[in-house]
Amino acid sequence: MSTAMNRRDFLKTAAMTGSALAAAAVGGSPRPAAAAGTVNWLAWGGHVEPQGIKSFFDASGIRVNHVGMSGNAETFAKLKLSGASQYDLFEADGLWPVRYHQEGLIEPIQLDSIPNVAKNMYPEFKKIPALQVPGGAMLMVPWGWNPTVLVYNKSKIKTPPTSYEVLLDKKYKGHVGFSDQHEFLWPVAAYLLGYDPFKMNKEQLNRAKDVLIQIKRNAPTISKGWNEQLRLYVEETVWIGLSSPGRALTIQSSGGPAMGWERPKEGYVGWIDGDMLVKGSPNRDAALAWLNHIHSPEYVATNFQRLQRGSVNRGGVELLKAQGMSEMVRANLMDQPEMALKMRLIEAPANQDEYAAAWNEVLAAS
Amino acid sequence: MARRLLIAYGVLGFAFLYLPIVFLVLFSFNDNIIPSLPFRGFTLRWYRELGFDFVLHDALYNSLVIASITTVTSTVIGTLAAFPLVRCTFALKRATQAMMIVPMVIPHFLMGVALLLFFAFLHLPLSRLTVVLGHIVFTVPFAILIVSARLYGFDRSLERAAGDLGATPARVFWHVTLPLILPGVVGAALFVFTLSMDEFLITFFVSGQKGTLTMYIWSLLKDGIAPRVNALASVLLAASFALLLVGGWLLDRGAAGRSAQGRTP
Amino acid sequence: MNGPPPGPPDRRERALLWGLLPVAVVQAGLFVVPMAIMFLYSFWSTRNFQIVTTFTLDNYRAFFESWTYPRVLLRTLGTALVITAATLVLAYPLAYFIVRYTRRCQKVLLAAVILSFWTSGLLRAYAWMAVLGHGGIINKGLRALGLIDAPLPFLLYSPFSVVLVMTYFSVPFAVVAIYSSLEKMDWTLLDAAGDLGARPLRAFWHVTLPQTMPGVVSAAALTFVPLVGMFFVPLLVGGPTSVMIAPLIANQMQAFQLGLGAAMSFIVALIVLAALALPWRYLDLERLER
Repeated sequence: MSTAMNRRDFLKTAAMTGSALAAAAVGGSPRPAAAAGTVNWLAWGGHVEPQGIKSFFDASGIRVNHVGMSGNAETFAKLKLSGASQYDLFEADGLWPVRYHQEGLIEPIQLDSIPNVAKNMYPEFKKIPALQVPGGAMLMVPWGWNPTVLVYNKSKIKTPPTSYEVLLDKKYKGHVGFSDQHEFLWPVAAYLLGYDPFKMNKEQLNRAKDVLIQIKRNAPTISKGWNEQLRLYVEETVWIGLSSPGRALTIQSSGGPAMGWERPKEGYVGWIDGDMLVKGSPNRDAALAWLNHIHSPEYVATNFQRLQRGSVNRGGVELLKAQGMSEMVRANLMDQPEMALKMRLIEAPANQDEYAAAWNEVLAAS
Repeated sequence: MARRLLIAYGVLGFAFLYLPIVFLVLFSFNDNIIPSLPFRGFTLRWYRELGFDFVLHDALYNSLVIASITTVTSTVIGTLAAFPLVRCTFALKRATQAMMIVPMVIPHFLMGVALLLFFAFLHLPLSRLTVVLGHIVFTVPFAILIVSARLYGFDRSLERAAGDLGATPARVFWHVTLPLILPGVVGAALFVFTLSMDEFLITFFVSGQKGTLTMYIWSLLKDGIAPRVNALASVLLAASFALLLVGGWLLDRGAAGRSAQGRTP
Repeated sequence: MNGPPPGPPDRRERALLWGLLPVAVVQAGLFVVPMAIMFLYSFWSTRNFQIVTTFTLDNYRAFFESWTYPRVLLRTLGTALVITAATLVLAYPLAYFIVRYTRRCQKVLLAAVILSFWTSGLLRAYAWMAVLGHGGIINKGLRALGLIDAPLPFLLYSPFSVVLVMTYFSVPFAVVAIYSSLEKMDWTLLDAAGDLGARPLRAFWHVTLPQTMPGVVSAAALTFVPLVGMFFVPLLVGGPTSVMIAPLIANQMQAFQLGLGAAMSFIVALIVLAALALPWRYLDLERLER
């Protein structure tokens, strides 16, 4: 009977599929079980090069599992809530690794034990005092850097802006950039009010909060990531905002208008990002091998061409120059590592709860 | 006159429903990094990029695993629950029905927050398991609803006839009931599968280090420059379309089988 | 017609009742218990990324202290109502069109409606950003036609765009819900009304609408409730000064403000349950399936 045949075949297929999937779920991977390991990498999406992941797998059999991160405070909170043991490497900016280290979450690394880092990294980045522990190991392996300055559309804003005040200017209503990266916004308010960006107490935060709400009212939207910001600048919806020299160039090369950048007179912060090794990671060797791979000149050159910013890797920078990208290298300060160390690096505030509560109110305000 | 207005409205309505989808497909072939006009040129490179995007492949694989486990579990639970809900009368029946509906409509972010806190309380690390659990709770009501719909229209005289002819309840179920509700069960399975594959908010709160498709799409939308998002959308659309065709075909065969059975004396 | 046979439940039926056990376990374990835990967390606080389990009403106090948070909630509810109304107004004629004027391709059209919401929601919202943005087709088209000089500011990143895109998301569901109700209507009544001299609009108001009211009310409730939790659409296409409650709570959870997030979530949960309880008269499970 046709329906009876239908049912039996259906059930057989379902059973086979079901058991195959159950086996796969337990095994955890469609790739052959002979793989030499996995690295669970919590990192900025902009650091991922699909070709790089593939070539690494082809060379070593190790699979890199990337999970995106959205911000330092959010990542820290997530790890505290759901456990750090799921990851082998995570990333942070500025002086945040100090906080991670205080919580006993990470293992410092001797940079010279990673071949490509020993060979290719600018010496300035190998010894950042605030990120070193006695013995010379570093809390994180640096990757890229940028100062956070004002970028602006040259055709819409004729005189180069010199102060954060421009973000509050009502004549730019609807055209000011405002992102959800709150740790880069607090410094704007702090510098305007004369406070220390990362040591504001509750009252100071209250006043800073009002400044940020004012800026927010000048913005068309709260942008959620670089992808969206790029579009807003290219489409000329946003004319001025916080970003970095490299991004200004990326905007231009993506079909956008001529962009300029300026360091605000009140002061500015910057970031150096990098990778931290999770303490007690079962995939430690694989993680170190991956770190070695991403610091190869080829990986660096591909990534920094796609997403322009300062680099810590001399090998990659030289490769870019050899590929004819000297202009881009110069404009991004890639071969001027000393500039990175002149920046005020972002860090974790001691009263993180109060910063979080204040940001909440900034978001909720009309 | 009213008729012509309504037809025009119908056409416009469908155009409205498909407007963004058409744009997604169009931009997937656009040789432009930003999803804007002008249309710069025809290219397949975004599709090619999908081909060697291993993070995407892993995310897709994870989503398929999660969706499959959710589908099987929710469909079984839903079918088991549909029978008493349709065929029995018992005290508090309406209250039970009410309880069945709530997880179906409650905002997913509420579920996500509650589940996150629940798993944190239990010190259960976030993983594919936590996502599966989150998906099961909101899809079971859908499965119940769809299978019940099938059961309501069910002609029980066939079951009674089989019983009168001496079949045990188990045999009656296996040879009479199940084939006839199979289209409903399959329909429920397909629906649950789609709901799980596309689910965003609960997954956002309770997923761990194994990324899912929706989390991948979300991170693409935020970070980096990703024109391949449009290509991905077009591929997913084609897959949904294929799934819809398969579902429709299966349901038709079920209906044909049923009418064939109806004709047997 | 097909209900259970009259009389006391027999052994077979009682056996069937066991089928409710798995779903009861799922509901209790993955819905009721987590909600209770969330309620519990709403009385706890967090300090320095640690949970402090001393009972406190501070979280609820923080919510009601200033006008900031309640305003967000009221804005969400108000917007959800507007979207629900717009959805019903748009969906009803579409459903009517499918039922009345498309005999042959009815299944195909319904499938087309269903297919449109099987495409990833995130990606459709993303596509709307492209359509409505400064470089999008509407602005570019109007500029090309010479009707405007500069891009229309309200098209994107405004309450308008949130309502438009959320209505777009809700219409397919509402169409399917209203369609089932319309399909089961007794159309002969409408013909009778016509024979008795009623004009189409009167006939609709006095015959069709009352008959399909259960379907409309179900559609309204099923549309409104999920809208309260709207998350990624306001994030992607909304303005900076009109944040909705769900993204706000998500931000709190991400910042480890678990107590405050739980308290606000619990308040929303109460409102949602109230919204479901109100039209319960119409949300009869049996009616929903027919």
